[in-house]
Amino acid sequence: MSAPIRRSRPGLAAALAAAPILVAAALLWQHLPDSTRVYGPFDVPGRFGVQTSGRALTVTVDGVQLTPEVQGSARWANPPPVTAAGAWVVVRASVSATERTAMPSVELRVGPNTYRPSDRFPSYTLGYRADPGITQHGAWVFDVPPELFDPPGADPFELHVWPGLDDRLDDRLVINLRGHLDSTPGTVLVVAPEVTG
Amino acid sequence: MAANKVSHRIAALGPWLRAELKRRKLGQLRTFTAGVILAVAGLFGGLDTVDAGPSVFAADEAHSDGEFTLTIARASVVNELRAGRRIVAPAQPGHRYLGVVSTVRNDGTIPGRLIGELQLRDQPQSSSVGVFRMIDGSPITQLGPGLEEQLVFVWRIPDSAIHPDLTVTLRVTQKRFTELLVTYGRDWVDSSSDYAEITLPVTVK
Repeated sequence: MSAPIRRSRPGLAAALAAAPILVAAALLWQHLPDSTRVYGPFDVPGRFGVQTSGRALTVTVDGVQLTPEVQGSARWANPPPVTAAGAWVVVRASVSATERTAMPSVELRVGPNTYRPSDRFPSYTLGYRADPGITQHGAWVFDVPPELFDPPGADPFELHVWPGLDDRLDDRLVINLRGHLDSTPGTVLVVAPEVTG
Repeated sequence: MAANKVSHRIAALGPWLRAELKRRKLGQLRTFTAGVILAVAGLFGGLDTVDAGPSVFAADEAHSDGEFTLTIARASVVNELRAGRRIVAPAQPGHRYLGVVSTVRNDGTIPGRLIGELQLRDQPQSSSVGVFRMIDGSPITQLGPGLEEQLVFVWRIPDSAIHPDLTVTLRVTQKRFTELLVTYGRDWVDSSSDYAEITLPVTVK
C-alpha cells in the first residue's frame, strides 16, 4: 500500500507566507517614527534666573511679565502703546554667543501651544544676532491668550532658544519659566537691547 | 511539547484550507479574494474617508478650514488704504484696492500663516497686497494659536474689473495638520481637492 499523493500548491504556500509579512508591514507603517523624533534637537534644560549654555548660545532669563499693553521706547521714537490680541508675555533675558556669531531663534511654549515673538516691536526685540564676548540684555514679546495662564497655569511654560533657523540635530536651550510669571496691569516698556562687554 | 503542538496545528491548516477551497464555488472564491484585497488596502489607508468637492458658506457665517475659523463680514473697493493719517497703500492710476474684512481665529497649536489664506477667484489681473489688522492698519503675517483678530485681506485690482454690480468669489482651502514629507517637522498642509467658497457683493467707495 502506497502513501497518498499530496499535490503541492505553491500559490497557497506563498499566500500563507505573505500574510504575516503584510500584517507586519502594515503595523510598521502605522507606527513609523515622526521625523521630529528622528532628527529632533538636543534639549539643554535651564531654569529661570540661571545662566544656560549650549554649543552656540548662552541665555539667562531674569523676568517674565504678563500685560495687556506694551510700548516700545527709544530716544529716536515714542510710538503709542500696543494692545495685544490676547495678552503680552514679555520675557527679559541676556543673550551672548559662546564661540562665534549666531542668529538666535526663539519660541515660547505655553501648554500645548507654540508662539513666536510678535512682529509689532521689531526695533525693540532682543537677539537678531549674538556675538561671543558681547552680552545683549533686552526682551522678547509674545502675544498669548491669557486664559492659558488661569490656575493651575500652563504646563509646560518654557522658552526655547537655538542658533539659526533649523533646530535639527543641534543644541536647543529649554528654559523653564513656570512659577515666575508676574502679572502687570499697566503698560510695560520695552527698549532696544542694551549691549555690554 | 508546546512547540510540537503548534507546528502540528500549522501543518493541519494547509489540508483544511485546501479542502475548503475545493468545496467553494468560483463566485465565492472571487468574493473571498475581493475581501482580502479590500482588507489589505484598508490596512495601508486605502479605505480612509475622502471629503472632496467644494462647499459654500455665507457672509457672517463661521467657517473652519481645520486650522482657522473665519467669519467673513464684507468686501469693498477703495482708492487708497489709510490707517488714521498713515497711508498703508497709496492711490495708483488705473488700479484700486479690494479689501475683504474677516474675523480670523487660529484653532491650531502653532502660529498660522495668513498670506494666501483667502484666495481671490476669477480676477486674473489682481495681485495680493497683504493682510492688515483692522484696529490700527498694521501688517500681519501670522496669527498665534488661540488668538482671534479682525483683519482685512487686500488685493490690487484694475479699474476695468470694477462695475456697480461687482461680486467677488473667495476660496478657502481645507487644511490638515500632518508630518511634512519633503522638509522637517509638522505643519498645516492644504488639501488639493477640498475647499469652500464664498461670494460677496462689493461696495465701491
